[in-house]
Amino acid sequence: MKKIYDCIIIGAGVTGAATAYNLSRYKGKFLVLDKENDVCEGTSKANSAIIHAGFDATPGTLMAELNVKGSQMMEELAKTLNVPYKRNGAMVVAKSESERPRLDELLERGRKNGVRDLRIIEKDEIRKIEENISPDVTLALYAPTSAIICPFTLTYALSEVAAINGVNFAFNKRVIGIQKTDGIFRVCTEDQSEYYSKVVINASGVYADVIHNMVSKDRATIVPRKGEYMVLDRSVGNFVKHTIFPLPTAMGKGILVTPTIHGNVLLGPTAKDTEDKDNTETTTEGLETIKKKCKESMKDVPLSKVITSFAGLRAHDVRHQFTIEENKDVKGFIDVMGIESPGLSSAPAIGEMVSEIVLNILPLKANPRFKNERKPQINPRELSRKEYKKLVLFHPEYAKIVCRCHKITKGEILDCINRPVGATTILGIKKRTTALMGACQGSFCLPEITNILNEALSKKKRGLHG
Amino acid sequence: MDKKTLKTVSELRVVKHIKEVVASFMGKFDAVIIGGGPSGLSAALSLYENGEKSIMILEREGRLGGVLTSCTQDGFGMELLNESLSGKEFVSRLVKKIDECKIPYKLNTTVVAINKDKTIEAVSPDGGMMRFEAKCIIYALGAREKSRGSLNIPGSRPIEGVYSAGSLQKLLEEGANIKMKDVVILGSDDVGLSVANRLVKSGVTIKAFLEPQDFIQGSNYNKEKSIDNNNIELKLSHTVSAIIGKKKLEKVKIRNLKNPTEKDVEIDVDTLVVSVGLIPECSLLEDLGLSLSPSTNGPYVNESLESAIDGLFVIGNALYVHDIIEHITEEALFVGKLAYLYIKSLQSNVSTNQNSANKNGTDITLVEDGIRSLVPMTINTLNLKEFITLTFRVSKVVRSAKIVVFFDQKPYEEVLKSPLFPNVVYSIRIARNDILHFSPSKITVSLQELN
Repeated sequence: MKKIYDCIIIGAGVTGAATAYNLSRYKGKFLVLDKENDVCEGTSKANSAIIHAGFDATPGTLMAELNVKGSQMMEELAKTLNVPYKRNGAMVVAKSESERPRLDELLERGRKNGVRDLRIIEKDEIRKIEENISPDVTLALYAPTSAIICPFTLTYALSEVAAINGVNFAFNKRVIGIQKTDGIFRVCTEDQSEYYSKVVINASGVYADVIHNMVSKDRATIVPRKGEYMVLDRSVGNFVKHTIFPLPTAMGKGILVTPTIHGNVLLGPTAKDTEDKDNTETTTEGLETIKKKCKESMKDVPLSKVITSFAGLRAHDVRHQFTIEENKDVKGFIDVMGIESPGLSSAPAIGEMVSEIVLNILPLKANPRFKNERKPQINPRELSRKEYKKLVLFHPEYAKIVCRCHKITKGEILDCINRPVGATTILGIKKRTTALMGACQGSFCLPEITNILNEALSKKKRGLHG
Repeated sequence: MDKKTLKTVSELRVVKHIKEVVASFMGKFDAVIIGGGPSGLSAALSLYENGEKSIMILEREGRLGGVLTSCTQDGFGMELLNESLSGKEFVSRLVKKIDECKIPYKLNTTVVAINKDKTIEAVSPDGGMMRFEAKCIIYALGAREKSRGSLNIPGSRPIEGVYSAGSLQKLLEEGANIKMKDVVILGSDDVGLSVANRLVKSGVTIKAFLEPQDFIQGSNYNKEKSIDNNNIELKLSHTVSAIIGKKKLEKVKIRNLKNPTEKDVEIDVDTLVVSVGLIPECSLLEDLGLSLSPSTNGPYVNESLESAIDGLFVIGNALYVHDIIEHITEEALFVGKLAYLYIKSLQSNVSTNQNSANKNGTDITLVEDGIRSLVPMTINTLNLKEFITLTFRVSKVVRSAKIVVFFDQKPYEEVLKSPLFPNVVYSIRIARNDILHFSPSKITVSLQELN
């Protein structure tokens, strides 16, 4: 007899993971499918890693509502799931009195959206809290509730807790067809597998239109909007404290300068619509734009300390809106579409909303064994000497430093492989531990990490614990 | 065995472990050498031969030898041993000597902090957290490769097919199965040259060998071995302008930097090797609060190659990127001796020791003019030996020039050296007596081009 899931979630990005996390609070059979070989491989891995306060979205829209709600939920969630998070505050900067009305407008929007503690600050106060701000900046909207987060860890943590509570994950499963017969969806994947489910959730990022159009007559269009970024080394991590935005435009929030939760400085993103849903190439033009624009809000940006550049794609709906609803024609098919910025900020609220929609369709009972926690990832650099000494006594692998730049130990690498929904690739280790992300970009540690991964995976295959 | 017995056995193991940890927790040494590569090992041998017996070498890899253990290119040891050895052979001789002398070392041991009082914190799976006390530290951590990321080459970021030259060497040496057919090498430093040689010998096609500058970065010996002997065409003033390929590298675009109107050429490749130079690995020194020289990317040092902290010497590629191994070993021998004298001076506690010497001698600042990487940065007159050797590089190929040394504003010595190449480290010797006689406050090394 074929297995029928209650819910299949297509897409293991932060939206899919947050949905899986929320559904795992209920008793049911849930499956997450992703075309890539890991969680967090699309938009969720290449974005600004900001939890936006919520002053940018148009009041009254779903986007505004979920942004503010998600942002308010995030601190607690990050704490519960051990996700690196910091409320560092943000500023939208302006250069003349003539731009004041635009700041006022943002302030007004923010207040309507329910964003707390917004205010406009001027010259001296700006410089007092952000010393490297450009001398041209005279005014700023200050949003102390804006935060930075590790989007990788957030997505992994949500997936891990979901998996602990019984959600299945299957990778390298590109969905190529969905049919509904007798109230059951048949989901076909490229590798000729078939999955059956009562409800299908479309959380597939830039591909959400493709998946949507497989079932619905009502066509959707998601335009991949490319954003390029540059990353500066941790040695200049003190360069900026807040997230610094220029005034927003029709194309988005503009090139920002922000610290990352891992102590780097991030510059970007550019915004350019493309046709190719996999095109994450950086361009000369894009990188030059970042170099030029970041200097408009900050002075003496240490561009010589660039350690890498990357690009991501926003899942931009031509209507610039979040679509989170059960399809009107095809019951049981739920779209979570157009999740571009502030999608990361909204993720906890989106997950909650989607699971409520599911509950209206399926009478799921609460999962009495739901465990809202995961084993904390040990960070030896944050332990006291005494704690660390004790740790390495029992787990000497935490005393073998593999990544020199970030001082990541073999213990941390093994841990990220051996967790539920653990790393199976070098890139997976990179995103889970920040090894290979330092100044040397892996030139020292790649051979050793390759060995550790192969060894641990073969042990795992043989059923041993690494 | 039942569960209970199992538990007891593992508990016993833990108890044994605790003992070991406690025993190796604290160590007091006259000299602690951080880094067991060619420079660190040579310095250890030098200290030993000078009579110092309290030495500890800390090495983060699982074996001594540093970067040379994966270097199969020959040409090492020609000046020192009068024969041409591969990097591996050369360094294995050093390791053999270390073992013969029974100089202690700890492997898999990563230093995580150096403190101002010259205590060192390190970790290793065998020893756990360790703390060493040293009278003198020799910092010999070598250099790291500049990455593709820092070059800002636009394009995609394929997971397979892009390597830095050093890590590729290491992967190959460890027997990794990397499929390569058509390769582009970007950067002609010594690592790049030797990788090229190795790849050609293993039957790989080098589709292009590019150097962004208009001169070869690596040594002439390596150039001959690699480029000339294998008939590889090295394209100077060319770079990779784009990387193409999603999961695997598929193509690169090549740009002629001399002729900006020329269209970029796209070629099919499966491997790109980036070898665009090294940067001294000084993060521990930066953590300690030492600033780095923008000219060498290493720390500021005096005539004894001692940093701003008394008794903390910096040698090898951690000080500045050297050109040939002999300069590294020579320098290590020199510093080994100075370090020995430094330790002795602490013990005898006489007033002429180096520690208090700074109070008496005069400090002279060294200034670069048209050159780069001038080492040392200061000289204290009291610590001078018979001669002081200054080393430097030039930034471009100079066909005809003279090097003039100024004592303050006055020309002291003119050395005709031309042509001059950026891939060579040049040196000048100045007699101690001259410095004492003229007592300049500033010595300038100036490059003056001749028409």
